[in-house]
Amino acid sequence: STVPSLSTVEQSSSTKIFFESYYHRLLTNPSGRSRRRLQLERQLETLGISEADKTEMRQEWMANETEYMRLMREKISVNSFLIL
Amino acid sequence: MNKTKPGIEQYCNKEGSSSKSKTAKKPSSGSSLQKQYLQKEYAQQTLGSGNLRLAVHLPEGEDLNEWLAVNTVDFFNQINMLYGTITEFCTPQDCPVMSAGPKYEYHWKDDSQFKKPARVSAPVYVDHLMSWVQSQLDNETIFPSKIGIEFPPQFKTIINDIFRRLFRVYAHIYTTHFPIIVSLGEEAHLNTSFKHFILFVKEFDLIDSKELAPLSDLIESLLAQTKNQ
Ligand SMILES: [Zn+2]
Repeated sequence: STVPSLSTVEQSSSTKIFFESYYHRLLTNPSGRSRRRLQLERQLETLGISEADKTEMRQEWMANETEYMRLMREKISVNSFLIL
Repeated sequence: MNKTKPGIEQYCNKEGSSSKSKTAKKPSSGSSLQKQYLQKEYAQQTLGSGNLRLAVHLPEGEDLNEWLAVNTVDFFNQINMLYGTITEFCTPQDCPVMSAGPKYEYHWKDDSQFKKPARVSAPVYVDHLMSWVQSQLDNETIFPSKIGIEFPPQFKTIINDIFRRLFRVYAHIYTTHFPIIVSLGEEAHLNTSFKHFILFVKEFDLIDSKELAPLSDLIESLLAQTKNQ
């Protein structure tokens, strides 16, 4: 038979919604990360601090982004709701 | 952690080798449907109009392993969800052997239960495959979750093994279950996911091109679309 059951149709609907919002987010420009990067640069401009301090703040920002990615990985891993 | 490389399962091209699998049945989809996924009305369906090529680039200054790790988890989840919508049709009766079209068969091998490559049904194969990937993702020494813990030196090799295996689930879905994907209206979702996967694989050189052979024509067509954007 090639007629999907109701539960398959329901699962398919939620899967499609997941993909649509995932790719909408991914393909929306600028990405969250580059938006945050711009915010940082604007902030650095207004602070009137030395280049060395700016470099340090950029490094700190980068470390936070890396940390954030690791937390995200843990989160999506735990939330994988359709384990076979 | 087990230091030996995870087993390479048998990957046989039934045209080119004198394989023992002469008795292999053709996948249940008729030959007229085999390349349905290449037809324009389906192959050009993708989600959104943004540039996926940009989305796979390593963000400036980011750690490569961290980027590989987070994307691996993403693709694993995507494939899990996509395959989950067709499990009803991927039964031991419909798919008595794991395949990617009539020319390619996959035999399962691992370090524990299957020391010799075993010819198992597609649902059993996919179940082993996804459980194996899950066990890698859950392994703290491979995918550290605590801040400050480093990835192991052989991380890239493990990533390559994971991607090589995940590709086979896409290949099975496209070559065997595409009519169901179409009837569920998932072709744009599957294409977008697979295109993203392939762009990522190409960007970081994760899968040998001969492993990609079962879907090489589709890959060519998807990548050509990206160039024309
Ligand atoms: Zn199947």
